[in-house]
Amino acid sequence: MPPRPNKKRRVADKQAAEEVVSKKLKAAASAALAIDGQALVQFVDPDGKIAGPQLDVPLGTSKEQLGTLLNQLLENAEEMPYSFHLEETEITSNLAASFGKLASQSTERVLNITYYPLAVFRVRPVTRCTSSLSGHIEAVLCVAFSPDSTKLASGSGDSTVRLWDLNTELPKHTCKGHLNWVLAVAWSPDGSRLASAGMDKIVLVWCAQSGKNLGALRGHTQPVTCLCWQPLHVAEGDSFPLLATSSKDAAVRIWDTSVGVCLRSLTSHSQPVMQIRWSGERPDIGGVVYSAGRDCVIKVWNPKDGAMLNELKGHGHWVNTLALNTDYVIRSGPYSHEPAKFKDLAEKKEAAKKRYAEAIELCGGERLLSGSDDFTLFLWRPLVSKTPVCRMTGHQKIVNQVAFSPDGRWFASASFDKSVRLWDGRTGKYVHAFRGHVGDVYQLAWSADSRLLVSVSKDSTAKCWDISRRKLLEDLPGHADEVYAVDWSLDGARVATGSKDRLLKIWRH
Amino acid sequence: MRYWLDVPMREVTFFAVFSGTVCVLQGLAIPSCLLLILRRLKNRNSLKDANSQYVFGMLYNDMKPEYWFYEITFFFKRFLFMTATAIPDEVLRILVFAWVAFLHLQSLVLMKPFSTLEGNILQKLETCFIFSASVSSAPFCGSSKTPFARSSRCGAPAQRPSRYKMPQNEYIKESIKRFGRRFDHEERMRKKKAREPKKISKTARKLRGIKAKLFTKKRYTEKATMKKTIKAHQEKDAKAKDAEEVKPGAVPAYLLDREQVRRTKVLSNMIKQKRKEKAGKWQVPIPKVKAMTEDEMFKILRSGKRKKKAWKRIVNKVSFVGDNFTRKPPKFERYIRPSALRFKKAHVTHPELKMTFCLEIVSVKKNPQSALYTNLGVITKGTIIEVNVSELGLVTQTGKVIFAKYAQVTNNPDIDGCINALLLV
Repeated sequence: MPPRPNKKRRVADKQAAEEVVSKKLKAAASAALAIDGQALVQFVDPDGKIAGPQLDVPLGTSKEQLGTLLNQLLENAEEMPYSFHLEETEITSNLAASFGKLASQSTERVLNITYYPLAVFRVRPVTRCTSSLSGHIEAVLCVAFSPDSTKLASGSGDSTVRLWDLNTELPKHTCKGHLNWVLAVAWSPDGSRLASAGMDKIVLVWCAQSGKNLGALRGHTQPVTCLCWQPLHVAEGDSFPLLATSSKDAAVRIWDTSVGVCLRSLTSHSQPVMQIRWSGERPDIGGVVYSAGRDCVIKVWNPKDGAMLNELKGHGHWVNTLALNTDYVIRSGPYSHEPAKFKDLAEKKEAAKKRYAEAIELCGGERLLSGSDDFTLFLWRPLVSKTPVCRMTGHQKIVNQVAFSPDGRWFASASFDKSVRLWDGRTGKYVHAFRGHVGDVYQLAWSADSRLLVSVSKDSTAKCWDISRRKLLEDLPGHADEVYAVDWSLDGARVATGSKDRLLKIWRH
Repeated sequence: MRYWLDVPMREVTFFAVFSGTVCVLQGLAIPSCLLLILRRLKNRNSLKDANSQYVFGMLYNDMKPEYWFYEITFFFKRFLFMTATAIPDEVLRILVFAWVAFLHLQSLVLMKPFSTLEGNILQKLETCFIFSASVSSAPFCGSSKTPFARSSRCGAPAQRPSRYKMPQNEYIKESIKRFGRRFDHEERMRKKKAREPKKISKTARKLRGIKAKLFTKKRYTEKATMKKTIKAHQEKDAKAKDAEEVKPGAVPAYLLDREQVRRTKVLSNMIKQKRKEKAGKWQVPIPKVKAMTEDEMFKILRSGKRKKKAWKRIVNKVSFVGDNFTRKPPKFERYIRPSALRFKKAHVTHPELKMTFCLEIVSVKKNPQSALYTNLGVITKGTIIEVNVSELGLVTQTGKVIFAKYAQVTNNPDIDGCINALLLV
């Protein structure tokens, strides 16, 4: 129990509560769907903290009414959107419907209603293809929106990287320099540089503005599989964030792109490393690097001295994918869904730091998620313990990609069993399976407000899913062949998909 | 010894007294003294001193420092030549001459003691002259009265080799050109080459002394050059590998090393296909087929009590009969499709994938022979059949699974006992 509030507060609370209850009673009475019966409810936030007093509300209370009630209890200046869970089940229409699903339907005990804050802005679902960008002469293998959502980069099998202008949806620069397929592109979190790498074992850094090559990083002896920039807020002093690359030569390398040198080579994997993530925790050592690959273990590295901090074992087959619940905020750096301008790197760092702090508070600590060829997913708290929080089974084929929603509330997994599954981001509980694809699901991307999800598949379509209603919102056919890559811009306006048919398509509302 | 005794005594004493002393003095005593002196100098490391260079410099100045003694060997050589003149037997004398010259030439070639090139060449020339002179004089040994003069090293021009016992022109090549090689030449060469290492190793084991040394030296250089060439080739290959061509069929990182069914474009020509379907025109692999007579197609089945009626027909060809087909009562069954000739599956080849799948037949779309056969479901060469391709995992552009596609039969199923077809894409 929380400490008893002082008298003044209690009186105020009581009055407020009474007011609310009377209001609600009126509303409930007026509601067509009036369900008799009352219940004692207690609002609880995701971390288990109690908000406001216990309330006696009618069972007919709708979701919207609960929202108004909570906003008043939390004394929010303006109305904030929330989603509610009664014990385990989500409240979709009204309290009674969820109450009916409870195991013990007793109105005697206090019902805990957990509330989850939702994004204050809404991203409109994508519905149509606004442009098919041709130019690549081989399959498009990777696409990425810049953090400020003004540019788009795509890497292709024709060994070029192309930069596209999003205002006009026209090509801007063709970056030639690679000698073989470009497997990965990654924007630096401040949006000024772009790194690309691929089968030719070299990593190239490009200037985002001019499309010029800023330098080549050579050192890997096998194709480079994944790129990851250091989060902006943990970059040391005034320096530019470092770049981490993973390669099939079983090494992870950390580069200083300003100088063009390899700072560290992290080698203790025994098989190709397929995924890396750079966490924003532990700013004293410049973040923490997670790497995983074909040797079934996830390794935690200290990028400052190159020491391995931890080793997470659990998977029985190749680890295909890693995701952090702070991925989105790390990727976007200082930029949010609103347009913003920054003077210099220091200012960007400040903004990024603020955004990261907010995000980590919202999702309650950092979590790492891994998906594997053994059809399972593991949820870890790698800086807290070596044992997984949860092991998630359910997929019938390999899990190809996992992604946390930007607010960390959910995560989704794309699998070759043609389904996309939705899981609870904190506990790892299974929520829903989105079925509709007729081929392997390759990739997925979340909208910035965590309400929508887009997945692309071997069956040449992209599909947009509604998270709150748990159903297919839009089917986006148009590609003539397998769709390999997808990304949702950070301002939520566009979705880009890259396909084997050599086209890049941009989808909008 | 025998020869020695034959020579008149007066000559012997003259020879012994005169040339013997000269020989011994010039050829042995002086050079030995010089050698000892030089060695002392060498041991004291004072070869480079101005004083010693002034006095003995002519002996080693134009040699490489490690061959400081080499000049002395010329004295010994000359001594040997002189003593060789004393050998009464001409053949033996020439042989000794030749051997000494040859060995000296060999040492010159192998060691290359001169620091400058000219000295080296001069010495070689000189030795060569002696060598060739002594060798060329060999056939004339018997008649020659003055072999000494012939083998003098002041450079009598080497006589041109005699031609009479030597092969004239390139008669071997000529013969090969005319008559070719013997029939098993290639094999013999191969075998010879295969035996070569054994032969070499045998020689290497057998040889002793200087021959062994020379042999190993030769082998060593051979092996070294071979290794070098191998390495050069490897480097060339590696370079070729490095500049590897970009392979077509790029896949993203997450699909690398995954066993994948290689698929061509997912029917990117869907629209074309639809258009064709509308126009009813198909570019098919077998555009024309031989017409079949009715006799070939059907066998008349006589019916009635006296087998007088002849209105029933048995289909002689392979046919496809749907799952839900039930035969009509005998009275109404005009065409009988024997169950032994009914087929359910066809081997369908995807022309782009170059792969063949055993797929279920869905229906017979068109038999080019006649509409009747189409209705009956008769499958002959050139027939268009519809096959179930759902297991190929093809999808339309809108992301729907394609269940059935057309294929054309390419063989005579009734003769072959199976249906081979080509998918129409």
